[in-house]
Amino acid sequence: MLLKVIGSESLGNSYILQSEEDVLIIECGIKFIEVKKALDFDISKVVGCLVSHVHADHIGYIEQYLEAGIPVYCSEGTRDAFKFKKLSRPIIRQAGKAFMVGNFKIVAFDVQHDAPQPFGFVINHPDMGNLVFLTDSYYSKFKFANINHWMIESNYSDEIINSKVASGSVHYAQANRVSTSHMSIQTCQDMLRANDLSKTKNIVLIHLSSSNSDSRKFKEEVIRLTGINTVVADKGTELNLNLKGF
Amino acid sequence: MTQEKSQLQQIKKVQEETVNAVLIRVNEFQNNGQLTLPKDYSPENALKAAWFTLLETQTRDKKPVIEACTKGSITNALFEMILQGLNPMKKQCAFIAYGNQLQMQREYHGTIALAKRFGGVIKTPIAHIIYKGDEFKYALNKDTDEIEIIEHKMKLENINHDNILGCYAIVNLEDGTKHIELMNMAQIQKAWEQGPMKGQSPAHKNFKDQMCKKTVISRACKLFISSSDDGSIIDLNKENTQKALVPPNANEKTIDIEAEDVTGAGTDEDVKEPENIPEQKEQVKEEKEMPSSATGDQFSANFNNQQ
Repeated sequence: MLLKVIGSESLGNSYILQSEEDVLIIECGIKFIEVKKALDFDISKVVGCLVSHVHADHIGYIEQYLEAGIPVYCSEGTRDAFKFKKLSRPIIRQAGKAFMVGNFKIVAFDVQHDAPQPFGFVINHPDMGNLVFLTDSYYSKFKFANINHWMIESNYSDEIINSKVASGSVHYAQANRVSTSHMSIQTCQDMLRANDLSKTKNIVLIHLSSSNSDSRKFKEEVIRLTGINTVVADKGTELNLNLKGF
Repeated sequence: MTQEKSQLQQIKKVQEETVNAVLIRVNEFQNNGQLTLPKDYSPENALKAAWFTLLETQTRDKKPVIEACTKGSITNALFEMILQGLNPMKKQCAFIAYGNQLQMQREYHGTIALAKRFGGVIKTPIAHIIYKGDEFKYALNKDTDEIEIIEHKMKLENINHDNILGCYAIVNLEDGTKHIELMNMAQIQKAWEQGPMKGQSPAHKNFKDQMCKKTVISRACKLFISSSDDGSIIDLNKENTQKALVPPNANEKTIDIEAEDVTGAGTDEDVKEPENIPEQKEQVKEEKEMPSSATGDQFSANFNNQQ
């Protein structure tokens, strides 16, 4: 199983989980052509696309994905908020219930963001084990058991954003919005602390703010905390998520 | 009758153009983050209170201020009241007309409120009168550079308005230190002479001790208000943010995708595997009905394999 990062920022998000037999896309906030390029133009193995919430950097190019015949999975809240005709008969899932997309077994869970019914996902595949995908959530209500890989938002650092508010380059209201919709590196670390990481092999830090984050420092901090391989999801990052053959 | 009616309409119009306009502007500013008010201050309540106060306030020649003063000056006075976080019902401020200009004036209780809110003063200052015959000793404390009261022995029989020597206020500060503001009667008298009544009002004559205390406390508070920054406001809001950042229910329930496989429902109430399977089949059907079914077919095939 290979994780490919097509984009992981507020300009557009899209990730690919690619195994020999099937491919799962997470988020469609980036032009479909970029996904095609990443898959060498072979989209026959794509089994579906998960969308976390209705903001444009996560759902913006849904039309292109649907036109390519890819079933897009999102919450009812997201569907209702996104008044797009072709999404009139989507696949609605309920949080906490497992469902299959290809060989991927998926459980959606509620996250904390300023959008209607946003979701995070726990994804299981025989090749990679269990992966948590958590973005655009200022904290998580849940802990997760038996997780092998984490894709977790670390959008900003309290320090950076506070100093920017103090210097006036970030407005107070903006900082306030961020702190109740996105996850800080500090909250991210608290969350990792709260979870059992004994089976974890990879931590992928996603959705870093272009201005309020420090990717090198974030990575170092998480490695120091967990002692686990940590990667920042820059555009074009590839990471092997196979359980065997490391 | 009609005249009364039109007068009422006129008052209502002034209210809309002043009080309501200010409230809308304040809300706008707050939403844009252009204005930060103390957490425990309600601009809505203060404005309502201010309106009732304004209805009763008259100019020097006994005209209602809402008729005599310009709308611009009323709006500005109200806005200033909100900026300082004051409420006229608590006698923290008053509205005074100078010609056709209305001005907001901070009052004694407002001064204390601001000192507590911004100035690092932890409780309302206490003041004592020094009467002739009291044993009063004070000195400079070289460690703190502050004046220190060494002794103040009072006697009930010394209390006499004509024998007031002076007055001092004790201000307790956040950092645990105390500030003493001390004035003798001559200084107090000078301060009173700055006022319109020159210290000759009935209040000054009949309640001289209380007026002395007010003067000394006001002077003590002003120092701390004027030398303060807005840290207290910003800190309050910071507290709010941090509360939002770490809600009590973070990382509480556990989701275990593996456990679901084995036990079906598991212990988590959210996880109900058996219900999910028929629903999943429906979804697959829907999938087949989608116009471009290439991936949809594969999806269902895979799904069936899984079964």
